[in-house]
Amino acid sequence: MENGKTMMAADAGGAARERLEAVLDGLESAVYAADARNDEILFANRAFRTLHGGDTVGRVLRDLVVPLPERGDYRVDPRGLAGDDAPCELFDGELLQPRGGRWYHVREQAVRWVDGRIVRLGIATDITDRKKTAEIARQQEERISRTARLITMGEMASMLAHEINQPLSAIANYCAGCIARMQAGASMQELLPAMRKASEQAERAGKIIRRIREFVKKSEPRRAPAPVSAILDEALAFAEIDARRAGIRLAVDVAPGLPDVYADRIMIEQVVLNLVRNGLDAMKDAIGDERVLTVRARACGERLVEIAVIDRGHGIDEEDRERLFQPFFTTKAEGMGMGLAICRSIVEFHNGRLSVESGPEDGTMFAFTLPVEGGACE
Amino acid sequence: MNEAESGQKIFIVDDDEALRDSLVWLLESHGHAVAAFGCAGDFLAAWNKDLIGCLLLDVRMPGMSGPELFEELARRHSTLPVIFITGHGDVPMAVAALKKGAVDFIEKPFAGNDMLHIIAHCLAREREERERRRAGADTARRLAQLTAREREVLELIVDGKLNKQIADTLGISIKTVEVHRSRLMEKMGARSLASLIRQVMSARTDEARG
Ligand SMILES: Nc1ncnc2c1ncn2[C@@H]1O[C@H](COP(=O)(O)OP(=O)(O)O)[C@@H](O)[C@H]1O
Ligand SMILES: [Mg+2]
Repeated sequence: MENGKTMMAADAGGAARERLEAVLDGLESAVYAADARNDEILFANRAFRTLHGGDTVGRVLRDLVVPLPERGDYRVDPRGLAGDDAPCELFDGELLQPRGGRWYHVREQAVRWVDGRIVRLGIATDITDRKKTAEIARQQEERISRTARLITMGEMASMLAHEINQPLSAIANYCAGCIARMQAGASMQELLPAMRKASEQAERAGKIIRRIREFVKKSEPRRAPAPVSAILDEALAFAEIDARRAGIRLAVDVAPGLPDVYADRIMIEQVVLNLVRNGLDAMKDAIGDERVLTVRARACGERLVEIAVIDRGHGIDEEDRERLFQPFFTTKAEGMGMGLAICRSIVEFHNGRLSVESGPEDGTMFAFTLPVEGGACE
Repeated sequence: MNEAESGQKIFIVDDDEALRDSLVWLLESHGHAVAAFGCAGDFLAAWNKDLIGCLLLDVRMPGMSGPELFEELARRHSTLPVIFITGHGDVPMAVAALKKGAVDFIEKPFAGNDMLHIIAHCLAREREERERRRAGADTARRLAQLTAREREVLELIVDGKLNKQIADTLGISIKTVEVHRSRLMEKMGARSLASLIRQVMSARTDEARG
């Protein structure tokens, strides 16, 4: 910088221009200026030049790598602009380059060039990756909500329990009332309407049971080869929401090179999610670094993959351990007690085994096996 | 005891028609007077502060829920005790309601006898409570009829002072104390010293309760 002073004194304007060009060349977006009347390129920054393989000044702004607005896309036709119309905005939008399949965000403005001409000053930014990420996020969300629909099976059971409670309670009431009246010597005529209503309620309960059966039939499993990591990704994307809310970290440990399993993905996702949720529930009172729940997948011989959910929660009493998998066994105020029962039958349907043991440090480990593709039926 | 004769009524608010109808049947079979409503709004329309008995209230209902109706009744200073009817998963909510003053809750499906016991217990308590309020209002009315001097004498009696001490404290003769004493006993409708003291003390605890 010794001669900076002299340079600045000698040619302050030139230095300013150089600095400006350095800034423009540093941009990742392509910047260009072209004559508004004949499209002659008057300036192009480094990004623009790189895209077009060399200097483009003097060329005409057409058939380029960067997609540009067509005539009809402009707010005002740049060709017809007079001196005092500038500066004004010409275009702002996203354009697809049909040959390369890349997306650009393009902004063009009409400004007066140094020599008084009207030029289109444009900046084009490649947004393909950003668009892709947004698209992936959207797909992910869609998948999560699909998983969410399925996961409500436990909630569905809870709703049905509520629904079936209604006719059952009504039947009990009608019958208890009849008994009291019979003991007081009531006539048959007096009791008949209540008995009729009781049997109608029994039919209502029967209908609810039939609905459950149909629901179960419709969700019959479909097995296909599936990558373990994809199954875990989907289940955990959903569990992550609960974990974050509970202030618990999910650690995922998938052994590299696992073979695909032969399974109904959605069902296995449901198993994983149920186990993770139980683990989170058990860790309500865990402290500090104990607030980690690990999901681990590894090979178990050549024909099986084992998925384990390891929590650091309050563990399980010896006497409860026997009953965990029984339907409706729960120790939670709002529990349904169906989670583990459903998990076990899903795993067993897949010829796997769901087992429980104390965790390696403290807490509990639930682990289940799945056959790898081709390993199921021998 | 037959509640139909005591004027007490069991009010039911439940959106499920069969459940409601069957409850009416069961409770009438046991001699209760019953009135049933299909939604919170219908009950509120029929409500007035003189209803006596108890309210069986379903937790889950479309529109205004059971707990919401419960809070609205509290705002209106309703004295009708409330028993919640709960289904699966409603227990935490029922516990919260108990803390806010609900009497009890019964879980669906009910064991018929448990429910009848809970209701009978609730009605008995409502009668006592009402009797206590009536007695309290009566005492308050009688207290208002005492003269300032009689009230002073009453204070000292309740403090356990003898006639002699009262006379000294107030600077009047024992004879005068005796006159005040018999007049205030009469005005309070008390037959003995013990019943006078009991009456005044219970009126005071009521006041302290608000
Ligand atoms: N990771 C765990 N740690 C401790 N206890 C557990 C764990 N998972 C399940 N349990 C126990 O097993 C019971 C049954 O679980 P589940 O069938 O999923 O029903 P729910 O979660 O509705 O209670 C739970 O209530 C709990 O007592
Ligand atoms: Mg569970």
